Amino acid sequence: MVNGPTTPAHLGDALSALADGELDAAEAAAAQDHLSSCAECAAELALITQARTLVRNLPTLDPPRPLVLGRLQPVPPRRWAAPAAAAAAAVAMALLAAVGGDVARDPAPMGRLVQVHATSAVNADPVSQLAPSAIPISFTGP
Amino acid sequence: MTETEENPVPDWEEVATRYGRFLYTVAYRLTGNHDDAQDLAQEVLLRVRRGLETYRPGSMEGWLSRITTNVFLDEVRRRRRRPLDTLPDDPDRVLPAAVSADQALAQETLPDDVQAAIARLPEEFRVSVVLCDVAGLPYEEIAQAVGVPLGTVRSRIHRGRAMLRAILSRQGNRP
Repeated sequence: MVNGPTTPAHLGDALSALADGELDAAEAAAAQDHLSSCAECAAELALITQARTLVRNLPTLDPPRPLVLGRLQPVPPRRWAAPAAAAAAAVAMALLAAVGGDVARDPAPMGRLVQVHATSAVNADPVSQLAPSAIPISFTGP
Repeated sequence: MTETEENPVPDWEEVATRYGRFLYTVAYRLTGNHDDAQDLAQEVLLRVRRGLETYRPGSMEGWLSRITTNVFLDEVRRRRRRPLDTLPDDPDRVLPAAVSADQALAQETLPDDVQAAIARLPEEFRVSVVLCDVAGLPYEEIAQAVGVPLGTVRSRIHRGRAMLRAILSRQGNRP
């Protein structure tokens, strides 16, 4: 291609815009026209397309911990946290009472605890609701 | 996703439920580690919950990305205490590799390698690439999220990709 005032320069970032569908029809046609005769731009398009594909193929991730916990919890005045903590303590006491004397000789006390919990909270499930206040995450402090 | 007019301000719990994975994934690709990603995603939800961010009806992903970008770049500046003006690479000097090498790279590159390469991009390039190729935002929404002109977004995405490709190519050539 002959350099001149009307000859388009190399496409540069228009290559990414082309790959992303961000050029209008006329721009895209001009870019394709340039690509058909410019090996340098074609090679660059191949490179950035490869990078683009690699990033786009990265997996979506699940948060390791639920996002609503931790930092969000201390924000408002503890209108719900205080009764929640009290209720959590009550639930814990009830569970301990239920398992109680078996713990010492029970070969699998945690399994029993889980089982008791599972069978004692069929209608109401306060424990999972209260999980936030029991998890000691403190990015912001109290 | 657009919000209905009857409920213009999104509920943070609904945001956490419906967009938690999106938010966390964008946060992870920006920060490069789970602890910072968790902090970042939670800070975004915190701002949504407090009503600190003005909601503009439109793409929920775009709105969340704007908040995420602001929080991320604020934190980067806070940690560095210096401006974002250094670039480790000049992508314009990156020479195209042979096609066969390109194909080998595409087939052998692991997600962790790609993530490590993203983490090496200067933040403003990383943000543009992540918002485009992870969040899937159109350029116009990225420009609004980052607060820069459309042409700047286009340039940053392209240069970011070129840098990414160069970093991955060097990683692949490492013995």
